[in-house]
Amino acid sequence: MDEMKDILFSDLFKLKKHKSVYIALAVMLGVTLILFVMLWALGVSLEKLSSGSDDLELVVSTRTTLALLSQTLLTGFSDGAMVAPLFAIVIGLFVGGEFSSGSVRLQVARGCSRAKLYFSKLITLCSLLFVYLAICIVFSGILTAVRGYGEGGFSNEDLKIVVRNFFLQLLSQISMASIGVMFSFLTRSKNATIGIMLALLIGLDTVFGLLYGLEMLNVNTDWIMFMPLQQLSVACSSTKLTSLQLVAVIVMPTVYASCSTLLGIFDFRRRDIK
Amino acid sequence: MKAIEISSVTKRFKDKTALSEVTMSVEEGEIFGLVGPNGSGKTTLLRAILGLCSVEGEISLFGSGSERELIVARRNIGALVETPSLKPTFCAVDNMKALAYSLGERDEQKLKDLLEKVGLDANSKKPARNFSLGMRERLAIAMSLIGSPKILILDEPINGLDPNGISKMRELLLRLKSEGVTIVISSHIISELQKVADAYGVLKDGKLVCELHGDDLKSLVRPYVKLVVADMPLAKQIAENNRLEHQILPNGVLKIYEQNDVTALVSIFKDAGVMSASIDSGDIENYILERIGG
Repeated sequence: MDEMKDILFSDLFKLKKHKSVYIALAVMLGVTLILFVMLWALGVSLEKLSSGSDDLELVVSTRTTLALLSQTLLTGFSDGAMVAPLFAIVIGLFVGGEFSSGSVRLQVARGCSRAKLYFSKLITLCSLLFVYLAICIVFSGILTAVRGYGEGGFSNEDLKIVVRNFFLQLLSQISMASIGVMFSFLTRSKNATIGIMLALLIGLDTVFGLLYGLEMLNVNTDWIMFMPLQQLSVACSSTKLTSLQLVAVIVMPTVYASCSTLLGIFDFRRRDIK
Repeated sequence: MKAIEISSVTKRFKDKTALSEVTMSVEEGEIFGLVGPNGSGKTTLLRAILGLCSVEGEISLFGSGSERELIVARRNIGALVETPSLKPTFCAVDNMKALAYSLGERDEQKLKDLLEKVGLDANSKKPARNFSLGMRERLAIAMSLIGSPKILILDEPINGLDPNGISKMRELLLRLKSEGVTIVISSHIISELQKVADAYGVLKDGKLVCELHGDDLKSLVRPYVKLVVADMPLAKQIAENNRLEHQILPNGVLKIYEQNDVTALVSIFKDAGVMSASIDSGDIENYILERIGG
């Protein structure tokens, strides 16, 4: 237990000194701010469009869109801040850097358990993820308060959804982080990890985004939310989730995180360290 | 007590056997020099001791039996293998802390003392990427000393050091030895190793071609009188008649051991036609080079 505590302490120390941690956070907040400005501008244009209009349908649809726009920043805060791709870069730089600098080699040579080294990196990065999400939700909350939360204001029901989304998005991002850590340990390279993770995030989003189009042909696309790295969109929802959606956003990230961690540890314990 | 015992260790890569049935031991408190040409398996052997690569055969540290005991025993090893393992953006103290914290060492003053021990400024905030090769090497050695290890494994530690740095390294190694630390050093520079090593292991093509400990070394370096004679059969006869321990070498060279009175020997062997006579002693470097075909 003490050994795990020591390794964790060391990893936290190294992470604290890692510049990419702060740069990624600054970019996340910057992206959130840009999104806020864009949503605001869109809202203003929509309001202008519908003001003075006698078309009831237009007025109602505009109000619905405006309400959605007001909520988007808060309910989908981590998606809006682009936490996933930015965090994938941090994972690659941090864990890949541990291999390229020889830190892992040195720790193994000094009798540190390989499994503990793996878990320590995972726990450290998940803690950082929690901090990122906490900061992003607070920042999104402040910006949403400036803009207003739409008609009726921010109710207890809204608070429940925001808190639910925070934990569901955390779970979804932890699954992404676990996969990222696994690839870092498999490839032992900064660039390879970043490349694979970005390709996975963008590639899978593109493929499944296209497959969602099948809905128009009355093809059921519910299965997509069970696929790897596809839970975030459900976790950003501002409505009540169905049982199937809850299974997708709670069970699947847990399954993916567990499988990737087991695979990563299995490989790390077996392979030689250069 | 044996600090390190290696028994029938073999390491195979896809297309190459890097170590083949290597069996050797290192006594506690000695400086053991591991020598051999490039690609002979020195680094692989050190990496195997450190648990960085899996091998067939057995490795034991301070009598450790099980795999678990071996991992625990590795907590007592300080290591510098291949290139120094440094965080380029961290200063010297932060590099020390990054490793020390994972080993449960939190005393910053101790870390600074280690930096000063190897001649680095403990208060400098200069990042390691701006260090010279020698400074990196010294920082890596300071890191290997964290936690007062009982065994120190150094792979080519004097690479990149200037003569002053090499001299300081030698002093450091001898001081650590006097503190009871067992040291294993691999090096190409046998002449430098000779100044500190108590024992040697010579590797060639993944095989241990010889292992030299105290008595072997004494016999290797003992003095002798070298005679160049015209009539070797007669010289041999004279040596045998006088019960002189001797060795016959090509080109009429006769070595006479445990007899350092050159004048007396020349008069004894005068009938064999002594052409030259001199006192000499064995040379470990030459002996090792002969073994590895250098």
